[in-house]
Amino acid sequence: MVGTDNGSGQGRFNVIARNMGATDLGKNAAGKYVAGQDSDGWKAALKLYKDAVDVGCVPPGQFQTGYPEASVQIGKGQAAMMITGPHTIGVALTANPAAKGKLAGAPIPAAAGVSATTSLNQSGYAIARRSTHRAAAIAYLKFLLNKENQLRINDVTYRIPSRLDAQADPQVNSEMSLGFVKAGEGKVFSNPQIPWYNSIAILSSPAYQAAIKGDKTIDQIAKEQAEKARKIIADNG
Amino acid sequence: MKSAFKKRESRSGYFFTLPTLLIVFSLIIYPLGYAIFISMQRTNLISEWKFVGARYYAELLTDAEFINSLKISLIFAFFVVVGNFVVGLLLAVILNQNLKFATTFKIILMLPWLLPEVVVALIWKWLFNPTYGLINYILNTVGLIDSDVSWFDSSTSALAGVIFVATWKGYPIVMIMMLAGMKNIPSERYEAAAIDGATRIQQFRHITLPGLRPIFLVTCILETAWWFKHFTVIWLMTSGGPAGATKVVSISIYQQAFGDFNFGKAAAESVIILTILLAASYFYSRAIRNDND
Repeated sequence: MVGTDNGSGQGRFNVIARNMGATDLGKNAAGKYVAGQDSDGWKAALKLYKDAVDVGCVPPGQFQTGYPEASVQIGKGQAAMMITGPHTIGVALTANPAAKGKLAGAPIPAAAGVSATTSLNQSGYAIARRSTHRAAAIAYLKFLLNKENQLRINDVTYRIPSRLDAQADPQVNSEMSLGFVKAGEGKVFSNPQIPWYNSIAILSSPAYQAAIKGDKTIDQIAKEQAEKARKIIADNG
Repeated sequence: MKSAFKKRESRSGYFFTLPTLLIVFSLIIYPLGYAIFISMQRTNLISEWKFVGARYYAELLTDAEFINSLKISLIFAFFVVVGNFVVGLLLAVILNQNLKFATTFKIILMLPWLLPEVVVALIWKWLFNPTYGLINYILNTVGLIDSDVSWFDSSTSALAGVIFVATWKGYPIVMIMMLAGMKNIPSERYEAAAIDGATRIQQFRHITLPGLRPIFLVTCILETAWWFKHFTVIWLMTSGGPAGATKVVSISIYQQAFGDFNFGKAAAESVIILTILLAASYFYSRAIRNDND
């Protein structure tokens, strides 16, 4: 479990909450932003985190387990599952080449009545209009984006290529990364594209840490975070 | 004639102090003024500039989370400064005994101070790691524990952990300052005390400690200011967690500015910290002044 108080942990919790039917920042029928931190889905996601730790299916030290630590745990066989993207296969295999063929991706299960969803992280490039080395930059991007090189990158990092013809290659659809490809073909969400969304996103990590610690009830935590979210919405929305 | 000379002299005075004034203005006055200006704005530092007056100050002074961050900073700074003084003074006393290889020990004991804070934090984070850390491995091997211990999972142990690491990083500078202070205490005082039958402990209490007082006070100012606004070790080890248990003010400021992008509120927090540290420095300076009088 990536339980650190940072963007890495927040992003993973967000996917879980979405698959529980919660949206941290949604819109109502009138098109106004609404907070989802005290929704049943958000509370269910918090409870899932707490239960996972309480029943002992999370390696110890979840609050210090960030992405690098969790990837190593997967590679070393100290953890069996992790909410992540295909690139973690590359990281895990670097930590432990013997794990090749033993790792696989699968879509995150969704709560009853909720359509499974995931997020896509795209790495984009841009060339500035006034770039003095525009031709070289274009040549470099073409080099990165040709099918052969996309497959080479995929072979080492397991990142899914951006070219559709490379995505269709059997190498990309290997048993190890097929689950990720399938998840990406399903319902995909993107977070609201507003400058203040991060103020909402960062509310989740203190919440799941508090839920795991158990000093407050999940209802209390959800209420507190929802109040903060509503204040942020009122200030910005 | 005399007044023309005086005028020229005073003009030269201004001319010679101008470089210093410019440096002080550009490196201290302007950034401070700018921080105060930003603290009264709702801004993203690019396109949005809206004057909000003292709104952020009013919000912060009634914000339970911010007050809690201040409390955590105070606890953290207090224990680190006390820890640094206890360890630093103890080692300084030992090194002051004209031991063999004292220089070698001095260099070894200075190593934590020479290491970058990032390196120190990552080394200890790795040592304390519950699944592959050396501390659990050793304790497991000698049979002191039978399952992996998560050192930073409770609020108390996480705060104690970062205080321990900060003390490990910070004691050498206190040790060196104290050692320098001890070298400045005239040996005749110890000789006279010995003739009068004073024990080593009495000599330490009545000669060494009073002799170190001026250095102690100066070091106290520097240490308190340094650790009260400390960021790196805590951020790298716990990121302020679990659930805000180690969220000192510097982490709160960082998260306001670069997590929330609320630069105005972050600046207001910084100004409040500056005020607290200025007040602390004032009391320390008064203590030093009284000492000199």
